[in-house]
Amino acid sequence: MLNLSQSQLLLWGGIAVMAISVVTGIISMALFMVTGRKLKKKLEKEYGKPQR
Amino acid sequence: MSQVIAGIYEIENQIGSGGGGIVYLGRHMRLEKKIVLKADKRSLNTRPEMLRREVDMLKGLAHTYIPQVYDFVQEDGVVYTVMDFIGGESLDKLLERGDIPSQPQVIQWACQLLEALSYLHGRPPYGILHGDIKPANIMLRPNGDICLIDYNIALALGEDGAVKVGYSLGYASPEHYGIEYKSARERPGSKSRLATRAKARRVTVLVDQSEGNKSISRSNAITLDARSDIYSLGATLYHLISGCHPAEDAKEVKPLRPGVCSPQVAEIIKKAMAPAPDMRYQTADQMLDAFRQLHKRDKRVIRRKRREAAMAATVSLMFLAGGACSFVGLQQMEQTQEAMALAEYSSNSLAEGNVSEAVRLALQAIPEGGSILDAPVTAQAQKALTDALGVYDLSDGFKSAGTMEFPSAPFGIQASPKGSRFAVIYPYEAAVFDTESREKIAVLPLQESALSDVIFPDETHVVYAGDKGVSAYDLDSGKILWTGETATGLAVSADGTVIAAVNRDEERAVLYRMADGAKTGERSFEGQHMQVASNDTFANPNDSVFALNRDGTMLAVSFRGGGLRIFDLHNPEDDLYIFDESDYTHFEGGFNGKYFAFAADGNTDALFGLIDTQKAIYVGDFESPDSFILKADEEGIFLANGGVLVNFDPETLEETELAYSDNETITGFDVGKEYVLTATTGPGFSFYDSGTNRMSWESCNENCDFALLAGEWAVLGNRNQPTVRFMRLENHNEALVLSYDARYDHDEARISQDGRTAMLFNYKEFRLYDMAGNILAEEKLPDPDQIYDQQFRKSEAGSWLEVIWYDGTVRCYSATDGSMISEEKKDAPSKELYEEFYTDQYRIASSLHDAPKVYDLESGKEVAQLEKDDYLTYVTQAGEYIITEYVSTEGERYGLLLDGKLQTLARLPRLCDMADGMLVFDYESGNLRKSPLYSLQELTAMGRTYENGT
Repeated sequence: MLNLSQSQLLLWGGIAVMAISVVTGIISMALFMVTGRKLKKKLEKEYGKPQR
Repeated sequence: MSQVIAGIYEIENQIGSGGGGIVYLGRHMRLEKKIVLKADKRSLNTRPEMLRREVDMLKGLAHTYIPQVYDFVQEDGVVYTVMDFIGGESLDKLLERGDIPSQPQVIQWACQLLEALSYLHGRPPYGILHGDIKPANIMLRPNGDICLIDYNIALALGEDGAVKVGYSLGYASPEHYGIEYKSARERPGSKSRLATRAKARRVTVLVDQSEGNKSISRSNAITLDARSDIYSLGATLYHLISGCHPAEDAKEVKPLRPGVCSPQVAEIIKKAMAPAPDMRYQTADQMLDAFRQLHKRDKRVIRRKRREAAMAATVSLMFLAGGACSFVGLQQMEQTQEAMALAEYSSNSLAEGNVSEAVRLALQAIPEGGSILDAPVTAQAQKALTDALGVYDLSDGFKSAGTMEFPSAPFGIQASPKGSRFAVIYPYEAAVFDTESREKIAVLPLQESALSDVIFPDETHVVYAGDKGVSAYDLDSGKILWTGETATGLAVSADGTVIAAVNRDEERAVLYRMADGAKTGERSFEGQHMQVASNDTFANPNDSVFALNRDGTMLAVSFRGGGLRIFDLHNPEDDLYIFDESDYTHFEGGFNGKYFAFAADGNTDALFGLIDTQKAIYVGDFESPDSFILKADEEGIFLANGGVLVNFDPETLEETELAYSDNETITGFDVGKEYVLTATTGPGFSFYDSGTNRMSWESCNENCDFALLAGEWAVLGNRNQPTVRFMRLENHNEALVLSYDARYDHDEARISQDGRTAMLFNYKEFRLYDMAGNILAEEKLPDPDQIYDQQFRKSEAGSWLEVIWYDGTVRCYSATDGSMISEEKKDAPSKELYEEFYTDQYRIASSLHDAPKVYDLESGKEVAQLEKDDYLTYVTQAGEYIITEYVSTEGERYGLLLDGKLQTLARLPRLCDMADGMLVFDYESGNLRKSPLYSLQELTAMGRTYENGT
């Protein structure tokens, strides 16, 4: 068991949350890019290329 | 058949006919280009200028998806419109073949058609309606684009904008049939209806009045607008995408099934084909926008964008929250570090005796607690504040009462005979203070010499080696009483009537009468000189003897070269020569009645000697390899050697021990009426009571060169630091629980559960007191060498002392009357003295040889170790705190106040029990005293009060 003080918990916990949020952001961005491309292809197949 | 129109257009053959006229394929003879000529059926009925106006308007049209009109000619009463020939085939041919175009293809065509319609509807002044949009009027070009054809050139435009139109069944809007559906919004009296109407534009209608099955003509005049074209386009798209001809009645049009097209496309077509015009797209641009936004408005895209936004918001919030937490944590950690440093500074200040600074720093280490950035209070800060306030030290004795700063390190400190005043001597000046208030009474200018002396004949007068000569000063009036000759060394007779003065190494002493300063005599040293360093700015004035006896008739003086002589100031022939010369370099001495005691220090040995001045005999002496420290005056002869301080009786030659230190050498001392102060190597200083018990010991940064007792005050200082420290005698009678015979030897003292008795016990015996101090019972324990352990037990049923012998015998003695209440034979206990204690959160296992280990009750894991050097005797949970009690290897008992994380909040010296939530302390003076357990808030409040008070 880590014997951390409240301040240390806040500091390291905060840093951990920031790191997790950055990693989550990168992963979700990648996922969204992949799924976005798939959806774009699906939509183009269905509606054709976006009309201008 | 070949017919030439207007000399340049050759009609080749008829390619179609409709309600509006007959369509011919022709050739521009000059340009050799295919053209289309459309012969308008209305030509005979319509005024030529109206036709001209319409055709002029058509000639001005230019759009990718609309054929270009070139010319307008009239030949043989027939009006021809000349326009581009559009290659390819019409969409109805496609449908007839059963070729259903794909949805993306239909969407592309829809957009092209809507662009064309938007262009037509937007033409000035009122816009142009196609009026007959259907697959047959849409040409599919070889390049895949479409072209909207067959808008008529012979229009019957009414004066009010109404036109006669024809229509194609299924594609024509209900308005074409003269049916007017109204939406819910369009009911009479509805504001929205008026608003919608206001937006509707009146347009010129171009109507193809076809014949046959597909288009029929009617003569009724109705008002059309752009929404009619939108309906027709919707119907055309319906047919194209589903392959089914739309129903004639708009209300009977079957919705497009999900399998036919996408729901979103079906929704657009459905809206375009709404029976009520107000429910349709109001302009072609709106419908075009709906098609163009198909991707963006797709539910999957919207859902995905929402997810993206939600994820971005969540991640951003997480990041920000993490950042905020880190920031707060960092701030708190910085604050904690600062608090710990401040706590250490506070401890240092306390060690130096500067209590107010210690309290100030400790308070500074405790945050106000109003901000989220404030760190939790550290245990170190709370301990520093507790120590600075000394709330758990209820012992009698001298306690730090602050410090004073001087311009430079003092040369000496002198106290008045009763200690009500004291003077601090530093270069060129001496400052006199009232001891109680520590207010400065006077600043006296001194000779420029470290030998300049200040003496107190009594409590209200001070004599000093002033810059203008030896002076007497009245402390009450603040006036100089008299001034004599220049002098540095001073001595006063014990009765305060005679002052002796000597100036540096002059070979004479001058005598003054204290009362008026009259010079009463002068005594030559007969060629001898007192020991004065060549640079007397740094000399130690205490290296020499210069002392008067009680009535001022004798003067003892030590000389350079080791001489020591007692001058009889009335009868010089009776002078006593102790040493003419010797190897001793340091002398101390003084008169006690008829005796003169002296100590001399040489390079190799030290000597203490006693002279009977009346009988003029050398009573005796003794030598020691260690230096003697002597204080001889009318109060007595006090002699320190090594770690022992004794009171030497010159009559009996007996020594009475006043103070004893095992490991330290006494370097200075002062003896008061009830207490003794010793300065020791270490460095440190101690106070002893009249029973030679050491009351307290404190360390200090440097050896205390000056250690004075002045009434209830002690003053300490040294020659290297400009700070003088004060200690004040404190007692805590208000906290007294029980006063008992201090001589009774015991290890522990405990108060019974009902608070009526106190039991003092050790392995040999116990004694029971009531709270008035009366002995209720006293018992010797049998076979004390075989006692394994003793525990004082408390419960609702009562209190008793449980004694366990190695053979397993357990006897319990009542704390009410001391009687034995039970005796049992149990299993022999283990010799490891293993014990377990429980708090709300922890199990603490203590054994004889190992440090007590703390286990978490929930997890069972070891979380900490307690003090390893001392033996844990008790653990008590007191609210949120844990109190551990120890006995050290030296036999000292103390407690530690711990927080929930086992951090030390306070040291509780001589803690012996807890009763009624109060801490009970057992002091060697024979007192049990109690103190409440102070919360942090209470400590802080006390600190603030102390701070404000100082």
